[in-house]
Amino acid sequence: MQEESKYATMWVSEGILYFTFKAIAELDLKKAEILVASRLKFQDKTPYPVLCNIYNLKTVSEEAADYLATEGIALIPAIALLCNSYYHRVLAEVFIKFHNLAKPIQIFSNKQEALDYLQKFIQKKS
Amino acid sequence: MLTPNQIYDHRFMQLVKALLKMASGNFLYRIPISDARDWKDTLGMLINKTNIRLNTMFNEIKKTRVYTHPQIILLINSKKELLTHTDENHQIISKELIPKTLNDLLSVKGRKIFSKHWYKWDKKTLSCYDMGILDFRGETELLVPLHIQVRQSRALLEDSWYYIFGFDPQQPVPPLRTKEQDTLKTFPGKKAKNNSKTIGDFLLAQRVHDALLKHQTSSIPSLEVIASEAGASISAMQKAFKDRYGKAVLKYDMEKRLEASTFLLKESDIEIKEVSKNYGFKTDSHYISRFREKYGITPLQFRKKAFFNKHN
Repeated sequence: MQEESKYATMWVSEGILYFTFKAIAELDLKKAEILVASRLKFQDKTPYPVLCNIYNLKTVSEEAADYLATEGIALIPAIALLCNSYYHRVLAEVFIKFHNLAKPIQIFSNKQEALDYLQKFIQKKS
Repeated sequence: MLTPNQIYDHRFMQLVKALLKMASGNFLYRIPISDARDWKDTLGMLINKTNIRLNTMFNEIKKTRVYTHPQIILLINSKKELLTHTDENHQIISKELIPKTLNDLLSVKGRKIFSKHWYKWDKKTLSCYDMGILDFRGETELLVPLHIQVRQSRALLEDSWYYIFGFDPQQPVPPLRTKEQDTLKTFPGKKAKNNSKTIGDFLLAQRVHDALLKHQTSSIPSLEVIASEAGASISAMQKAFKDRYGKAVLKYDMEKRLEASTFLLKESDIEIKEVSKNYGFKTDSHYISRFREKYGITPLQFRKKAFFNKHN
């Protein structure tokens, strides 16, 4: 199951939603709203823990960050942010520090560690 | 090892300039981020974020009381030697004369008045002092009268440093506190008579707000829980919050939950029961009745209306 939207690529594998931003110079509020709407539509009411790769992000506006930290975490039990550079690590840390997210979120540079972290948040099908 | 040319390039100078602007109280500048996303971009991103936060904070504080900005700020040491100043456009300090001490800047009469007050000021008990109006020597020997307040620096230095604030004498100036006060602490016992807002209250209200946001998708927290997370008593927290946000804590929380829930109503097909659960309501009937109280319609009616508006 895969979705290619204007600003991101998403797919689900083994109960985890993989979310990779496309190259966006500035992630503003309008783009953030489009991203969240497309994600919700893709998820179709099913919550998934998210592995989010932010290597293509450059800057995120304050309004977009506020939006992602509140409405943007609907249907997400937990988030693992994958950062492959020091710049993105700091970007992620600033996001977590200044926008109190109501869901568990951690930063990883190693994909396998991120996946191991998200395992416990996968919903078991009844 | 980077060479000086590699370090002191245009982007590095942008960082330096932005930091200097911040040091002078100007938080409006933003540093452009390049595609390299290297250490300079990382620093630039952090500076931009800090500027946004500081600007928001000071704008909020400014709303509570309106004072004029100082025309000039000087920093002197205990020998009254001038260390730095904010008059980069030479609006007060003459371009021709390079001042070394404060006396170079004051008129003859101004020096006498300053000295008189300087020796009268008990610096051990009072951190600041109002010197009244003194004449500064501007360009072409014109006089610039300024209302002078002097504040002792709190930095732990061997020699004492002093900030001299020069305000327009026609405008209101901030009142000086008569006793030493640490604005980040709350005071036990009696309330301050003038009930003025402090940075501590501002930050407390912000912490309460952040705690409410954190719990927005979990069950509605009690005042005790919020106060504990914000690190204050319930009454202090309630007062600081209401002063800043204009509403009681729980009332604000309820409104924000209901507002946030409209997002799921508009953008998804999730059942009302699940929406109410997602936003911390124990029963959907509680959610529906609060929703109707705020919006005049039920969540289902709201959803249908949003769908209709979207497709017409």
